[in-house]
Amino acid sequence: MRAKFASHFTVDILRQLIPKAKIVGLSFATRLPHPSKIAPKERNNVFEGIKAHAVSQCISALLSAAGLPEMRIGNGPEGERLWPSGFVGSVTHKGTVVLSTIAPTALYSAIGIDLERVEGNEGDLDPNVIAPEGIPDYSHTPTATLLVLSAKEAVFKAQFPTTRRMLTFTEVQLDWRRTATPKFHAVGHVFGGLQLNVSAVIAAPWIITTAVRADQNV
Amino acid sequence: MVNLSSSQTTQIKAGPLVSDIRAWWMQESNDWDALVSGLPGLVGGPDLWDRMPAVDSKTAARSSHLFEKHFGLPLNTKLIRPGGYSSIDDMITHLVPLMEKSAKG
Repeated sequence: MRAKFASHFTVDILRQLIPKAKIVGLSFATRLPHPSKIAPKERNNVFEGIKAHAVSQCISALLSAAGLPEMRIGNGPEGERLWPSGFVGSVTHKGTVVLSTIAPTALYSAIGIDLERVEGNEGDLDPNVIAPEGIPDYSHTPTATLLVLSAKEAVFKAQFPTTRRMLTFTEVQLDWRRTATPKFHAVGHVFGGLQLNVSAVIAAPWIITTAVRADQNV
Repeated sequence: MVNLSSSQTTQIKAGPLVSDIRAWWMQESNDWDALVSGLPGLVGGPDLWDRMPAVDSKTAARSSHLFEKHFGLPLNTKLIRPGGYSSIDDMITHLVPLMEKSAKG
């Protein structure tokens, strides 16, 4: 009998960051055998197959949570997910965790989420490329750089349906206004004048970020 | 003495860049495989899977120093495919020609 998907604590964090949106998330770790039981060359294939199923199940549950009928969420020419008319949504996955969100445009006219994991290799990230405007005040610069990367990924996703623009990290400027560790808030300024409210939480080793349209109550 | 055009020079640099990216990624993958093999018993399964190297936006951004080493330009992050890549070869096939074009100016 196949193991069920499990919940994950990052789901609750995401709910706190965007309380008006529907959130569904899961971990598919319970569906995976221990990697040592799989030949090295097959591990990626096994992982990707189970991940694809998990993402599909997550989206299906998300649509149901939003009161929408079962439907296939296709992809546009730039790879963006095509949510039902009148809704905005976003999906992110990292490792064995999948997070997804959907909201009617009356609540959020733009939404983007991102999940990252601090793995100890963030020193390779160049803050001058990712955050030329500066990084938030945090004790560990590589982690702060990863947080900016994640926040900008959320902004990229949120702004795309409106602008249809693929952006570079330098075309998004984040004005950080830290509230209380481990939560961070910023106003994201996108090339062309769009502003988004950005929120992030570091719950080691995970970083969860959201970006929503600035004129919506969060 | 043969004078190379800038496009020929850039093409010559693409070969070593591809080799460097592959070598870098092989090291990352081997490190993870060693981690999997090194743990006693069957503990740590979910955490291990969470640490499996993935060719995503973060990985592509981390490879920027290799592009800068060979092309003199950091990776243009606008070129990174949304949703990441299926493999390191997928990333190489996508990004190297695009960056090669940028480097030629």
